[in-house]
Amino acid sequence: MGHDLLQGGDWILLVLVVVGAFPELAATYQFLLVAGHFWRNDYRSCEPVFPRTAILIPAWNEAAVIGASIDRLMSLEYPREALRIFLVDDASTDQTPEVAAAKAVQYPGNVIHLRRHKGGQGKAHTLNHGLAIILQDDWMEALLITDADVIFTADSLRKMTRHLADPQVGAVTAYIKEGSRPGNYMTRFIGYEYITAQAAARRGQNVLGATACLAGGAQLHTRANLLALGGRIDTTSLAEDTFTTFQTQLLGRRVVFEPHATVWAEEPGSIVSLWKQRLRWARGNVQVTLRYRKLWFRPGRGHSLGGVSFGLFWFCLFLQPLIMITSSASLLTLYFGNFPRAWLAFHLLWIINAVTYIFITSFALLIDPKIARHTWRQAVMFPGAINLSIIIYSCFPRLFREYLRRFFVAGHLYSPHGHRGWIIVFVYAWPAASMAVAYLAKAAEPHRFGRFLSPLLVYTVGYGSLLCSCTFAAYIKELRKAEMVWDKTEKTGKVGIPT
Amino acid sequence: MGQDRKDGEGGDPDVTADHGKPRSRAFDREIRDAIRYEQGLVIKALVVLAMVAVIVTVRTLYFA
Repeated sequence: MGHDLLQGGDWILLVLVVVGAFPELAATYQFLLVAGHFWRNDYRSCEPVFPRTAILIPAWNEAAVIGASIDRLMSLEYPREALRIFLVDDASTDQTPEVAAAKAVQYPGNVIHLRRHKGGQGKAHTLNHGLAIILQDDWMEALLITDADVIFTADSLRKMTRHLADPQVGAVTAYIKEGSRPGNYMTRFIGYEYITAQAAARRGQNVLGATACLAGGAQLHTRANLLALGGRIDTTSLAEDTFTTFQTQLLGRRVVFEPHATVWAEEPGSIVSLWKQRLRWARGNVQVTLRYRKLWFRPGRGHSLGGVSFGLFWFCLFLQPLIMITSSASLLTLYFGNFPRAWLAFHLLWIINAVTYIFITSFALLIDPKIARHTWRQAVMFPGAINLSIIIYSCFPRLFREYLRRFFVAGHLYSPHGHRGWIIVFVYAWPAASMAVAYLAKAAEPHRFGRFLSPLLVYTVGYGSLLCSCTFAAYIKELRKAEMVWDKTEKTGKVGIPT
Repeated sequence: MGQDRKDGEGGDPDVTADHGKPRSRAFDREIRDAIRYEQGLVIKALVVLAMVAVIVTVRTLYFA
């Protein structure tokens, strides 16, 4: 009886280990949905429509970038009489007011400078200040919310507005690409991440009919949708974009991702800066998950947010740190209790990880070959050097067994009795431990030695582990009910459209 | 509210499309190109799936 219980317990542990592959399996499923985008999309309902569009730009100390962004917007392939840019200056202390005033003179009637004398309340409040003014008259038929640093390609807006001919569409979002020139290892990681998180994931969400988030830097709303949302943006969370996206769909309108409308944005170039941005996003996701707790896995009428597939995508990402910790802990427990079963679980987990990694990476690089050209190294190294070694070893153990033995012998690490035990423990614990090492990379970065050590650590643990570590920090911040501080991502104006 | 100053009630679009004009060839071509790109992604997905199948087969037969 006791033996049976033990056996049963082992099987539960084995399942918990393999659950560690769920985020990758869910991502693979989402990538497979991309293939369905050719028949399930919104293109058949598109018409060449050019609604009068108000472009709302919240700006706090954006003097370095705002001028070029306005110039770009004014050179869009779009009727100029149907464009008005509302720049909401959130009590900037740099040259933003002067630049905005100069642009208002340069483009009379097209650029409107709105100044908040008391700012710092966050992006949503700044947007609402502009929205209240824009909605005062009925000129605006569509509203484009963007960021001060975002550079729109000439055809991007009209490629977005063409979807508004469909009466069911309430909002459209574009494909944001990382455009820092010159970039560094971090911006290239983000560049690749955006292929997976936008070009792929959002196409998959188009197929499902449920979108997780309108990109903050490129979201177009119909007037009717904004009015249905109450004419204002949610200010009670750090994820106002996600709340807007969910509310739009819950009110019965569709949200569409237009992958061929491209905009370029400057993304964080350091771990500390990335951490600030992603901590805000991750905390926002915790808030969204709790706010809509009655929505998940309950298919509703008029929207697909409660669908099983969408719930799976959401929670596999949201719970990934906990999944990794559970998987590692179960593997270690099995190791000390039933080593053969631990070995089996380890192989199952990593072979699934290997197959999904090869599929996702190869397909992602093919989805956007232009971005892939300068991010393929980061794509390959996305899981980190150690995880990549485990993946290769899992796929071709015979090839490496002899080399590993020689390495251990050369390093005086090899022992015929109880050999490799500590290495096995290390490898089993790695999915959870990698998050702690990723945190070290962030902690080390501000120091002098961090300039070299931090990138090395990120390449070792993987960009994914860095994001998981950040998500875990967000759980803790939310549990502690930490103050919601809007840490703005610093922009330097180094974004450009590649030729 | 659309250019006709009416809300998009009864299934009308929220913005008014200029249905009087025929859709330009350029617009139709752009839509066709977008759909063609999406069809290309199906081929790419199949190519990658085939590559994964080959790797799994080779691994199973020779390196398991």
